[in-house]
Amino acid sequence: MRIRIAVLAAAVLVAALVTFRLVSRLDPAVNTGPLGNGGTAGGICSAIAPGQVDSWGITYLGNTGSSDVVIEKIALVKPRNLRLVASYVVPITGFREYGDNFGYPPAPYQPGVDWPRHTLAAGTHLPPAHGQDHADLVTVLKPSGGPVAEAQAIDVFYQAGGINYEMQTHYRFVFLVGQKSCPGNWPSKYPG
Amino acid sequence: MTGHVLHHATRVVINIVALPPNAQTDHMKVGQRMIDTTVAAGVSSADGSYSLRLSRAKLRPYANPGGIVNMQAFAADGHSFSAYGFSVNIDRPVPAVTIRATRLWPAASRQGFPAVRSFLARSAAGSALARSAAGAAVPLIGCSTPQLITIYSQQWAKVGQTSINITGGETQQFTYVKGQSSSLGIAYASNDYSESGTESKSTNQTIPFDQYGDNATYNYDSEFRYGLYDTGECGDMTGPYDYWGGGKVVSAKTISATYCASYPGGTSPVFNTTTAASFGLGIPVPALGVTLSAQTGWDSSGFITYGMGPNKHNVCGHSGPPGDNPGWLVMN
Repeated sequence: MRIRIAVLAAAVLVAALVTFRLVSRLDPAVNTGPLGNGGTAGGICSAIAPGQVDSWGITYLGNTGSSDVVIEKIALVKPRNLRLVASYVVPITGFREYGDNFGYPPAPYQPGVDWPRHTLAAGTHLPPAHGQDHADLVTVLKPSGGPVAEAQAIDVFYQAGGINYEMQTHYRFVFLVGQKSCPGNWPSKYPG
Repeated sequence: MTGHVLHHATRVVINIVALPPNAQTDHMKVGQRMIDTTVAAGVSSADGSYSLRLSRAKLRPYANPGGIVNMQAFAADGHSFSAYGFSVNIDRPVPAVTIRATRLWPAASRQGFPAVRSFLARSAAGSALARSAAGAAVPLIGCSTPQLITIYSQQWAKVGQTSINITGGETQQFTYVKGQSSSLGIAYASNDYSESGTESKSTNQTIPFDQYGDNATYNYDSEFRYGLYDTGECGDMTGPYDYWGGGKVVSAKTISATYCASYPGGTSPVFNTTTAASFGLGIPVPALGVTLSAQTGWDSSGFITYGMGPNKHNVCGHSGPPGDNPGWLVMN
């Protein structure tokens, strides 16, 4: 009886390992690669004028690995009435991030934000980070088609050392189109 | 799980134990034992680094709501012993854990730690052995399951902080929601009590702290109780017993924060306290004359909300930018 159980357990283990390997090949590992676990969790509510775009440049890109990261694609997670217009990568060499700005890039000059060296996100090579130097992902977001536009997160698909990864932020976007301000209780009023 | 053992120069035996979830330990009575379980064992390399295999499925029975498992790492090299408390969230990638243990029992003061001697004796007799990930036999370090000796009276601990250094109609609010965890220091007695890692306790109620205005810094406090536990040969240990409740807001001095990002007027960013800073020396245990750290974090249901008002402002992190491990967050 014990031998039977052992054989059965071994078979289940082998099947699980095979399944795991297959899944690993098909789906990139989420938030386990050299770009980290998706950064600070939270969200932002923005009262925005109709037709306006938002350039969100607070997504931190720091390559903690030993080989280059190559960004393949940027996407929004579960967008509703919200479109990703463009994505850029901008090197950061100081204490200031690109930030959040209404309108298209570039934002007004900020020391340490090296906009002249920006690249389109897809295809960008990020070398291993040194010190506090890193890059920001700047995503241009455009609400369209409703008074409330939203997305659950940003997905960064990338490759490093021949392995595919996915970094998914934990940061939700809510845009109130045509409003002057966001209510203090917006996380519960717009739970997503 | 990987990491590094500090304060030990040579190869050391490492045992990792999982503690029962808060729901079981919160109602322990004096005299009862906390049944912990050894979930991994191994030996560090000569430079102190270690790699242990821990399956999420194996840890699931010990998980609190939100996936947090309280664990303790015991390290011994035959002459000295140390212990370190930490938590992992099994629903998220597990970072490397550095066992920052104070070297509790050096050979010079105790002629060999009794638990070390006993586990060596047991391993020589072929009993009390665990298996490392590679299948090798590893001695079990001989601490007994912690027995609750005393429950101390509740003490305030800082669980959150918000700060605005400007004037112009901005707002700040801290929300401490049911189920959120706080990491509170634990300490083993050597000659004195000194902090040796942390243990997580979950709130069991929502505390609706009010929204406050600009040009002020606030600390948000809640209360916890500590207990004293006898761990047999490993000595006495003090750690959080339960969450007591209550809320208190205290004006505080502002904090320096230099990693900044700007946000336009009309926006309201929310920062989950998962990556909040340790508040350091946050909770006293007066009976033992020791003050231990308190840190809010882990759970997605506790957060800081800033309102920009009509104008553009910076939000700055103390230890990193707002998008990546900012620690304390200040609006400038």
